[in-house]
Amino acid sequence: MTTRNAITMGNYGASWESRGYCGGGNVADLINSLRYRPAVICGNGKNVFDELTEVLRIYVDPVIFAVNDVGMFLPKIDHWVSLHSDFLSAWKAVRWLHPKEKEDVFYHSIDKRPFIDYIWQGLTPMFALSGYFAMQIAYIMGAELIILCGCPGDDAKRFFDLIPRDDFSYGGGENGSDKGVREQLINEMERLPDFKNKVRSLGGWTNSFFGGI
Amino acid sequence: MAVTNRNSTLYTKLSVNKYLGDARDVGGRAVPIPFEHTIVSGETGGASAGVRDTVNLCVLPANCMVVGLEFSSNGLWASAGANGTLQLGDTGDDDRYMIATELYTAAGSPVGSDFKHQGLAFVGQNYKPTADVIVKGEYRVANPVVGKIFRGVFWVIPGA
Repeated sequence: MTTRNAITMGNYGASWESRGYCGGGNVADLINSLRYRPAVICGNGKNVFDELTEVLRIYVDPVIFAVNDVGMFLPKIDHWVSLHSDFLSAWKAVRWLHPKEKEDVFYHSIDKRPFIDYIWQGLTPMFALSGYFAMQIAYIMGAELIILCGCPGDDAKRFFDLIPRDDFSYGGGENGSDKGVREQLINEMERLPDFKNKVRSLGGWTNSFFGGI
Repeated sequence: MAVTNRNSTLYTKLSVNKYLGDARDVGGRAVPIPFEHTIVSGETGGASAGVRDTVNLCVLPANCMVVGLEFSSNGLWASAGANGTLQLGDTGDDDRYMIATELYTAAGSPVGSDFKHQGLAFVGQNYKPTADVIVKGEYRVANPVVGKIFRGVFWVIPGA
């Protein structure tokens, strides 16, 4: 069972505040730890590998955040983020089955689990999608530039889908669910223009909203 | 048979015994305490206590009197086939303010496709917490749909 904070909780009960956000958990030491560094958020969008390749042609050694499933397959990651705490255990096991060099990956989610390093308890407010949650973490950690790859925020299929989902379009559809996801993002970026200024995207609706690199 | 006229507790306090009332007795300044939540991916509403996620919505200050609740959502569950419920309460009573309410798109909505619940549960009406209390929403039976929104406002009268 997880308890989340609605945006209307403000900073009640928070143990840290930074850049317009607050919360609890064991993350206070992460605040501003990425200052002056670019971060790349890799989501599940179908173009994630091509877009990451493009970023790596321009930026040397950015901090790479994997989001959900794609973390199993990316060549190198520094942080792995998901709103689905229990799934991370299985995804981590799959990655470990692949032959790779030794790597230090930090796992982030919202519930206390033995395999999760950083628990963003009571983060207020919290984005609805794991990709935006990862973007939020990078911002709180002080990244100078946050580049979205495979986070189109529209109805593009995921890298493992044969066809796009028909029940959810990540903000690109007309139902209340999609509208809510997009409305939340737009409202947050209006509230924190400095956050929006730091984000770029290589594809999809987020590219038109945040701009490209 | 003779009819009987009785005094309410409040009438007795103020008008018969002439006790000094405070703002809560006479319906003084009402203060809105809004809440809003966008459903986050992975939020769970299960059949048993261990798998029902909750969301902290707002804080009702100590010694206020809760006098009203307005609640709206755009249908937290997709359809009648997945009729989960949301209830509002606190650590002392998990449905003190709103009993388990089905909030899917066609659940008797008085305002088109958006569901609106009106009114405060009986046990929550005129409730006076003695310490600050966090209002919690709790999902039951089925998982709410990511991106859906519920929002509302509590009306309270401060104790002083």
